Amino acid sequence: MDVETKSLLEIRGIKKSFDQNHVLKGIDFDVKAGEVHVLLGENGAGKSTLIKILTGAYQKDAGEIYWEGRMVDLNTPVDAMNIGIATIYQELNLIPQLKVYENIFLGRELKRSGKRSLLDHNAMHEEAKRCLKMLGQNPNIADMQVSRLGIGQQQLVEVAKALALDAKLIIMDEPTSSLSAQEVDQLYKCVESLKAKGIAIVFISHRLEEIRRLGDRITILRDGFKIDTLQVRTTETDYWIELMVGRSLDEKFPKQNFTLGKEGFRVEGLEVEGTQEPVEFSVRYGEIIGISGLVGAGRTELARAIFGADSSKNGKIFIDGKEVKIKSPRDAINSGIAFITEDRKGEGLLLDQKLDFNIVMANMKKFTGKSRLIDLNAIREESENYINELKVRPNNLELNARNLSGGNQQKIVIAKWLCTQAKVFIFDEPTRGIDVGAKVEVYRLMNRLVENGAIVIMISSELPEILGMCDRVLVMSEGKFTANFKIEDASQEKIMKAATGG
Amino acid sequence: MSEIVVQKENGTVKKNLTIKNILSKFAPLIGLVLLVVVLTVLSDRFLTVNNVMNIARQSSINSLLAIGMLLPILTAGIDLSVGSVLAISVMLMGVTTVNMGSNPFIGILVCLGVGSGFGWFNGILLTKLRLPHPFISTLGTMNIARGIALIITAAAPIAGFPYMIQFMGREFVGPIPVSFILVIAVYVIFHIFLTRTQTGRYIYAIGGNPEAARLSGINVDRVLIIVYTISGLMAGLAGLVMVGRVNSAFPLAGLSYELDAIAAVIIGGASFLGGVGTVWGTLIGALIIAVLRNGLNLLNVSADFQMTIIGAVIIAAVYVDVLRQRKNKKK
Amino acid sequence: MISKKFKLFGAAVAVSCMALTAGCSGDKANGSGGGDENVSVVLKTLSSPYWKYVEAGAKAAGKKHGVNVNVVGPNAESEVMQQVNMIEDQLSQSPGAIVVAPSQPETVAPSLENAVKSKVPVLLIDSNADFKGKTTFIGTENFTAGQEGGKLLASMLKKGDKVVLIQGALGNPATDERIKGAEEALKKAGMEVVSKQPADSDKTKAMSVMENILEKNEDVKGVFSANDDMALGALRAVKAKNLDVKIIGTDGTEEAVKSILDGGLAGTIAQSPYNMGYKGVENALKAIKGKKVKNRIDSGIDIITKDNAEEKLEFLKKISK
Repeated sequence: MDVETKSLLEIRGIKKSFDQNHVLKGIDFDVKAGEVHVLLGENGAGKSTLIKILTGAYQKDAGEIYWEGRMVDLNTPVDAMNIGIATIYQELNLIPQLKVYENIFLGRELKRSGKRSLLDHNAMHEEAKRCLKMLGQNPNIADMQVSRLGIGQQQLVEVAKALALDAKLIIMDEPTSSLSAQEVDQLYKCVESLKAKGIAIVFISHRLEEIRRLGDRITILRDGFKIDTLQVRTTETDYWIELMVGRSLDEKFPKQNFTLGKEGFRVEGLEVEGTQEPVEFSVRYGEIIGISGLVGAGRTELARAIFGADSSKNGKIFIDGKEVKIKSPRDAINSGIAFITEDRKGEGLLLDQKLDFNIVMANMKKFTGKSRLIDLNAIREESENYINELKVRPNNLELNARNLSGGNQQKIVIAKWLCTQAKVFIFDEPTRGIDVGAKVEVYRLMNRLVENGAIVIMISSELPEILGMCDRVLVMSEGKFTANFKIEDASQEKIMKAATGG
Repeated sequence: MSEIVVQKENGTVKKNLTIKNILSKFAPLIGLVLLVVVLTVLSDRFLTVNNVMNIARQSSINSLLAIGMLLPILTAGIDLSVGSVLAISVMLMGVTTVNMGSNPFIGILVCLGVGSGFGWFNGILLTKLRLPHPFISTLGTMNIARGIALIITAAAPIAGFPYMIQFMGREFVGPIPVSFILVIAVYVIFHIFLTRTQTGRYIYAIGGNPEAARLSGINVDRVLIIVYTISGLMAGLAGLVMVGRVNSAFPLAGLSYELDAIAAVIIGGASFLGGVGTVWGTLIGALIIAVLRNGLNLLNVSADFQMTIIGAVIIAAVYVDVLRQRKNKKK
Repeated sequence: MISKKFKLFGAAVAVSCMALTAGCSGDKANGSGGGDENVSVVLKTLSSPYWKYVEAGAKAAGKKHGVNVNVVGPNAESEVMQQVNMIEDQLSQSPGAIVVAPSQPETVAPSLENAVKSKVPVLLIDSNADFKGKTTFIGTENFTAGQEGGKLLASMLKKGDKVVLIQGALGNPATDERIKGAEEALKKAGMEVVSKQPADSDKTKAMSVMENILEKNEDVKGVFSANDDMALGALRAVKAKNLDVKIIGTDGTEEAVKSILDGGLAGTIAQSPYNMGYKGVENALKAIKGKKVKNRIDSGIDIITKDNAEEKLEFLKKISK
């Protein structure tokens, strides 16, 4: 196989360190035209750094990069762009106020021949339409303002941008992590059509199913080393995981079953802003409830309304049969509700503050004595407990939250809510963008919460996780519940059908 | 095998971090010490008790304004009104004590009360009227307060304050000016407030990430109102010290003082993006400005040239901050 | 990274050192003379022509009598506390005497009282301040200057003509006094004052103030302005409308005198800033030597019109060299 096609890109012995911190310790890797090559590794294994070197954002300390057989230097992002490497990051880099075609040509607008300062809107328009067509998109969106597109379509605009650049290699960094199932399908199709056109793709993902579906070869990184490169088709998923985490994971979903208790949490007649129908559901002790649905179905809005983060109408919320009045997040916390938000950087963490402050932030009252001064020792002690309990790495309270990897950041957010001694935990996409090992730890923690008598609600777009961890799943579509399955009656197909309202 | 490597590296990373932390933490202090050394070499008049106490006295007004300014900046805001609020506070104190002959204590209360009141007004504009940025609301207050200060006495200055009011700006304990003792006391209180009280910590939280703070149950509006009220209170206190120094209140008092206060906070290592900054850094920032001005005066450097140098120092200090940020982001 | 930071600080320190040494050499140029006595002169600012004349006068006196003269001042007249700091910083160098032009007279009183206590003679120029023990005040009576300006303007107009007064920054005692004097003289001569507005001693502001006034009163015949810069600003507004308005300024700056020669301003009431500086240092020296100094010295005023502008201009050019 290796002999059949020449490599488009080949790197040898790439090393990179920041100060004393060696992030990459000699990586070899190659990509062929028309191939989807997956990079897999835990957070902190060095994937992002490697990619940044390939896109010219970082400079390598040692090693060689060959492009079409010739050695090249990638000193700036422009160098990488010029030889034909394009990147689609997790965070989209589009300017929402501009139109699609303007975004596609941002920074290298086409000019009218002979007139250096006048833009050739027609040519840009046509070229943008051509690229969109290649991706199986409606070419007419070229004229739309980007802010009016969904996230999935925006991502495809990014891909179109890469095509307009005549990119030969497109790097996709967790492109599906914020897409709905439908949008994911669209992206898959797009990847396949790119492949057919001989474009090479480096694909980063934590979703094992999609690696299996799209990938040709897979390279596994751990602690800055390349562990192995494998053919996707001929190797087992469990083997990848074993290589990635350095040990075998017993189970991907460590579901524990507990005896079902009485009803502990109930929502009645809650009208979320933007929807007409009131929402109603209840949760019993001993079960984990999953809330599934497409992106935009109103799941996060529902959670925010329960938590008092957005205004809602007429809703009644009961904990242990008693009604609680919630008008603000403060009320929700006082009533014992915790809300682990989806966007941990934007809504959960203080990135430039130390870990202990992040952990106690929502319950400072607990550490404030009669003198009105906070007890710094008690804070440190309690934070240390959480950090050890949740196996946060590195376990150094003096670090700022910014310095942790995604999975460890998520643990800090969870620790913050454990510290409020909440009774009801609402997790919104709790495993998005974190690696398999950390995912399992989050699942185990949910088990422990249920075991200790907490109510756990998990909002998730990942069906395997819903099916693997929940006892019951509620499906939302257009702001209302369209199905309520016991997990043994549920399947991916049934949930999708309910989610699409069909 | 690889586990061991990781362990080792974690160790080195940590050690390295601490050296760096110390450096970046004390960068402003190092700057101040270097400045003092240079000035001592250049002028034999610089490092005398008399002159050091001059600096202590001259820095006190800006130090008080700067510590007040630190709070809004920590919340990623700004208070442009402090100079004008200082003026209106001292003018109204003058009207009550000098023109109306009230008890000096009432005058002091009026001064601090007017300052806090305008600060509170800034907070209300920001949180309840939802003006988009404190730059706008405090710019408005800045003009309102200055205008009223000019109107009160038809622009005439007020002189001849009672001794009680002048005490803080004028008296000495031994060689040490009372105003500087006041500054140190205020800074200690602020240090405790910002590091050891709930509200103090919430100020950092709001500056770091307002949405995360709100979702963590913090009453953001209440904290912001407190922040701007305290900033106004400090403007009033700075005004009290100023009146003591010059035994008069005048409507153009404190003109463009907000800029020196902002400069002190920024030189002291606070970030304009909020969430980062310390009390002691701010003190050092205020001292750096005062030492520079005093030293340049001793060397008879023209005022225009002084401006240029202070401008360069602000840019250099912020550049250090940028380097620090860039280093953090790479991690 | 660490070394980078050090480099940065090194650079910052180097910049300030260079600045300081540059300042020092400037200092030597500043201090004229070369004798043993030091006289410190703290002005309202050094950034306008008027104060440059005062500085020139002070230095000329220093040169003549062989005294070291240090002239300093803040960036702007509004930097009141900065001026107080400068006075303190000068006093900490123990000069033989200090000459001060206070921006806000009350504010300098406490520091200057301290100077008197430590036996440093204090001389005030331009604006007086009220405190015990000062040696003398040298200056124009601003009120008288204003009166002369008012009389001059009235002499160019008919009874009942409409006139305008342009004030400096409200609260500035010097400009306020001039306006009072002018207003009194103009009213006495039977002129109608239709508008009195502040323009903060600023040329541009004066221009827009004048434009606004002309919007309402096209038939204004005369303007008295509390300084020359504002008079020149008002002149532009008038020229833009092609009106014939007599404008009188105050101060007698070079630009104003030139304008008089070119047929712009009708006249200016010159205080003698040069004289103030000169007499300030001269009398400071007397005080140091223990000689008696009169407690009020008039620096005199000049009325400059087309007739004597030429010779005045030559004098100004000479001293500003």
